[in-house]
Amino acid sequence: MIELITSGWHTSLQDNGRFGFQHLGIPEAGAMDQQSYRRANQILGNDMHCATLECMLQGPILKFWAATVVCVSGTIEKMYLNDIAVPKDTILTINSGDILKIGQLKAGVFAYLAVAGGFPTQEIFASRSQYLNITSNHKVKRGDKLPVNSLDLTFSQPGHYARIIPLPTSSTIQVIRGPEFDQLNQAKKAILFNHTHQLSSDLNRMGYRFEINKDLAAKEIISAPVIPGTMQLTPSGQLIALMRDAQTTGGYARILQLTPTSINQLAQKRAGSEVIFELID
Amino acid sequence: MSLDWSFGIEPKMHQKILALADDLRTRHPKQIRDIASGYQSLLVTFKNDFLNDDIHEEFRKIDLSRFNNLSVNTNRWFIPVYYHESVGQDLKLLAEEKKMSTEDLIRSHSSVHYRIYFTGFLPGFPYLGGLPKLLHTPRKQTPALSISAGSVGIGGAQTGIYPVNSPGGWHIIGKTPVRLFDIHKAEPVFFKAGDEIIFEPIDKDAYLQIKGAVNAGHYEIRKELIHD
Repeated sequence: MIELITSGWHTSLQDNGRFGFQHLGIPEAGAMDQQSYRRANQILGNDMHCATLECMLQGPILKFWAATVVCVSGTIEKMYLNDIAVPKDTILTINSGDILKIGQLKAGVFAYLAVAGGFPTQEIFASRSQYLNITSNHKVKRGDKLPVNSLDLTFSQPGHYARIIPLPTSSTIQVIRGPEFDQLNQAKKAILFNHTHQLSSDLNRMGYRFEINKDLAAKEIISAPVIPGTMQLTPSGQLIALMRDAQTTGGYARILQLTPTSINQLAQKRAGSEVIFELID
Repeated sequence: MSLDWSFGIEPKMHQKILALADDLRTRHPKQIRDIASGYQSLLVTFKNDFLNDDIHEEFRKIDLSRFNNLSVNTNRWFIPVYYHESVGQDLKLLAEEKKMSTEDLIRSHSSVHYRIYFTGFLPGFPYLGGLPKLLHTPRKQTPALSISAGSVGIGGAQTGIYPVNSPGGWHIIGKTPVRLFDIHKAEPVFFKAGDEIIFEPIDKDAYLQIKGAVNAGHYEIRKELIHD
């Protein structure tokens, strides 16, 4: 069992997502940065759908009530195990009674704590990702006690590091055309691709909003399906990148779609970051 | 992959895209992860990021006229609604704004067969078409912080039922004791796109009685099979 001494800013259990229920209005959810999520699991030798603890900006302080092994990945440099600095992307051996302080992320937004065998919480619609109205809570809170698997000493030896491509940190974000892309005229397309766009401070698991650009605008559409990575443009000139917890339908023009890698890349950008969109075919 | 048409909000055409979605799901169960529909669009997600050329080719050639002589079975659901200011905080104001009595407003809202176009916004939230023009009302400038599950509201040209507690900008005129989204059921949403909904006005006693039955797990929503 792992007890949350503090909860951090917004900490939740996330796996690769809840797929196949979009037509019922159930969002995908899942780890915001799937690449770092996979990395943490892979280093431990976990299956690729094991639930991890996703930490946003400020991580929690955890007390372990059982021996286990964990790995933290993502945009974090170090954390403290019993007050001793320990690195990320490494297997950490935990004894019962140990305290792991993940603390503040110095750069980026998300870090992932994977535990041997994943967190064995209840699966709901084929996923353990926390989401409002689907799981009983949408995040973990102080005092929560999370179940862990008893440590199997024969847990598979890792060594898959080389197979994990590091997440691009550049400000260039690759996109493909969205269904309403051609509602934009040439002048607007030029503004979209030849200028930088700045992230506003309105960033959460549902969507990342950009600062309003008065030279950009698109008419509202008749409500249509959207998925994580869909980029909407509002009539007032705001670009919104829909993220993992996005609703399943929306009424703004879907002008672009982020590639699977670019969703992860954008997820790790902070308020005020400037990005450039690069159209690929 | 997004498939988009431009016929607008049109029941006959919408029925064809639903038929297309069923057809695609049946023929490509190994490739397709999910198909979500809108009024005039389908969004197909795949289990693999890379598609084979055959599927690309098939999608390029999609022609809805294949489904011209469609015969469909859908359900018409009778949803009991307690229209009253105690559970519909905007009922009185909205009637005043429309210069009609609350009775006329209720009659108008419950006189229509609404078509369920798709589910979105919240888990189990039905997008309904067919709201009488007279009742069209712009959404509130400032959304209410909390609207309780079961609330029936009007927003723009649409009417709908909140399946779960949520903030929302719609005008709330009543409440249904029926659960639209039940996470504990294997099929958490009882209706499907293409079905119809009719709202049936009920009084407080009936509301409480049905609510009790729903909580006890033995309320069956009345339905009719429509063969078209």
